[in-house]
Amino acid sequence: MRLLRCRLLALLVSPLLATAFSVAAEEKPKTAVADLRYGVALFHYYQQDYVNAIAELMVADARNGIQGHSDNPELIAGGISLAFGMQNHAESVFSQILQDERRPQSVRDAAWFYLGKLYYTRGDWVAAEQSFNRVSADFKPALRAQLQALQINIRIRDKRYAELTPKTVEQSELRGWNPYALYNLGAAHAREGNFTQAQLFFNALADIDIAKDPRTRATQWALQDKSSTALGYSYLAEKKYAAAIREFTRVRLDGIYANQALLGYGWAAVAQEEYTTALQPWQLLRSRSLIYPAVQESLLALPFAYEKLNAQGEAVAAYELAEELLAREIQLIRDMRATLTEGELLTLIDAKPMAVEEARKALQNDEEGQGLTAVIADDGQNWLKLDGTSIIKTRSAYMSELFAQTRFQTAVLELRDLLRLQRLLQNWQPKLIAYRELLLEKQALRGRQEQQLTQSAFALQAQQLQQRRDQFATRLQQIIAADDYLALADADTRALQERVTRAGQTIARMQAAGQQTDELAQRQKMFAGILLWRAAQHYPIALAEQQRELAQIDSALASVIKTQTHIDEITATSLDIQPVLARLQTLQQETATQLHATEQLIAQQTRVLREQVDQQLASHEKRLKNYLSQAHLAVARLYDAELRRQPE
Amino acid sequence: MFHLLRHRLAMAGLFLLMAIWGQLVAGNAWAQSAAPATAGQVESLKESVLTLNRDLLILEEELLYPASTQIAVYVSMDLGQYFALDAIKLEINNQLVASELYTDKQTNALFRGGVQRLYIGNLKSGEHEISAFFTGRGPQQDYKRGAKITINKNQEPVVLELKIVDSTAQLQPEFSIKQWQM
Repeated sequence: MRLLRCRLLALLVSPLLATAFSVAAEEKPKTAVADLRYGVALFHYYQQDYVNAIAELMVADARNGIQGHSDNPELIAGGISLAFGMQNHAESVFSQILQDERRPQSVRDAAWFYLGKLYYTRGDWVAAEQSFNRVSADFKPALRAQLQALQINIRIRDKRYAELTPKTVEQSELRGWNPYALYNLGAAHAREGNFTQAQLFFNALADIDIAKDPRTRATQWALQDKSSTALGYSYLAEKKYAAAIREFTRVRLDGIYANQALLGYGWAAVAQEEYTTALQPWQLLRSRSLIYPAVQESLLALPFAYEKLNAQGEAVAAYELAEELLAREIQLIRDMRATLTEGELLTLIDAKPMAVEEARKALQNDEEGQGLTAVIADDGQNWLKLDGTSIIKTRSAYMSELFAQTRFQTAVLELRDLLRLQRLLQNWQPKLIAYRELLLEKQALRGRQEQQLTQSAFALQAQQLQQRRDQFATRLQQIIAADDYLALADADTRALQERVTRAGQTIARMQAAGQQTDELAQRQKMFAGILLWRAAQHYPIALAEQQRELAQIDSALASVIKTQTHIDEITATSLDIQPVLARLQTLQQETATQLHATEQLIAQQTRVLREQVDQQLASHEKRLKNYLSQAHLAVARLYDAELRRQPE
Repeated sequence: MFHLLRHRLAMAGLFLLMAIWGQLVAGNAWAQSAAPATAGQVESLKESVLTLNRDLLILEEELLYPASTQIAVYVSMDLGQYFALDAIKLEINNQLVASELYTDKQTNALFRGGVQRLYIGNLKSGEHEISAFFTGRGPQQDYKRGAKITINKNQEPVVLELKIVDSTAQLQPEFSIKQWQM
């Protein structure tokens, strides 16, 4: 039992451990299942097929429930409900488990933990913390690490993190969550303007050895890059420009924070009036894709540096190039906004999910994130791990900020789930039509059979045949037992036998009357003997014939009985068609109603998503237009200054 | 705090640095909360559709696979250290009724304790021969093995489990068919 529970905990946490930063212990392989339906639910769950997993458990529950797995089916039902975004249902399952004080501690720990996570996802920090506090110290270490990371997050939200230091974080056994906690605490201090404290956490993060595991290495590098970039900006704020440049140079040039770092590097140099130094990162930046905001800014920052170096000619040329590029980019965004339809969004979200590596390659083929290419990820994403990974991924700089928002990811998850439900209901519709036809056909067949039975009085015939057979067999048995040769004699012999019998009766009457009958009696006896001899000669043939006839009757009777059994079976196993037809019709109507409701919600959700994407693009367009205006003004200003400088 | 820089930025009309800074330290690197406006509606719909789906599944089974004729065949894997499953073919009375080519996701799900419902169908009363053929890879060699069982179908449903079990004694997989008593 204990082993099973341990495995269950491994199961519940497995999607969470799949996140890039989690360090999963080597998973122990399976267990024999006591109830196959429980195993089938797990089979679906492990493949992120939550609808079928829940369906299996619900069907089992509607019958006699899952047998032989103790508390696990309930926990699993709660876990799957949570993974499928059914928080209320999951809450009621976990609460029900916790109401029973006799449950084992490991089960209660799991229930408290997931209840806490559920409240956390809802933003009910107080309830989340209360639930987490009920989890015992014996809780599985990997899950405990996540729990502690969530507790730190709650403290950050409540501004109760002042006493936390990089050292206390290290001691918290956060495992794979450690870098996130360090970053979050650094960012929290930075938001409050406590740059010295922030730098302590960012430095601690930068000092972590990058994991050897290639799956986690990329994420760790990205987080360290983010940390160095944030650190650089915090030094900039403190006017520690050399330190800022040092941090910016630690950021990898091919990482996702390189552009921000290059931009910051340039401004740190400008702040020290080292304009030539600023040119290097900004020139590099300008050569990159214009889709990135930092690159867009470099279009204006570079001529600004030229101006400071008194290279007015280069400055004008750079501003004019900026005007041209910005105008082109604005047009590109307008085209995107015009062509991005709700249908396209739906197609994207309903697309076959891609495995991590496949998604990475697909996005790499999107040249430098020029378009709005995005893919749906298949790395075990679900509502449980909404916080750790993205269901929808993109390299488009215009979209990455929006896509990083939990609100957007949640909306995509909801839409994906709704599309699954829509497909489920759509698949039922033709099947239900076929089942209705099947039932109607069955009904008609049964009607024909009943009619046939009535017409042929089948059952009565079978009964009569059986009676006749029994009589025949009894008589034959008696003949055999009594060696009654005459019983099977031919018609002539039997007619003669009757005459001999009658003669015998006459002789008897004559004897009674005192007449002499000796001679007659002798002749009668002789005739009787001759007839018996004749019958005995014929007896074996006649007996064989009778026995063959009996066998034929038996065979016919067996056939009748078989048919009767078949009819009985059909009658016994057939559903009572009318009630089933009525049930089917109700379910058909319900399917149509639910499908309609699903489609309405899909339309509503798609509209919301489309608006979010459009608003995001609009904000980029607005910023670009602002840059373009500034470029126009700068060009005008420089020409004006040049004009003033020229002798009249 | 940024007054000098701001001055310079204002001169150039640039405020992106502030925006970048804001993005870098805004919120957390993970674990944000989400409470979308439609969440309640969506969850309520999910519950209704899943309940409906349950009722439809029960009706379907009653219609297509009544207990008196039903046969269901499941696949399970115990440990699986000595065998990586590629495919299974299932035959009833020498007729192929089901075959499956396994994806990594499926074998992983089996390895972790999941059980696959490979086949559900109908059988007449009487004696039947059920055969399963397993194909896969072991640490040392490829395997193509079979297992067979003869069953007597009566009015009760037949439930069979195709079991792939590691034999630690022989350091190789074992394949068997277990009939569950319902």
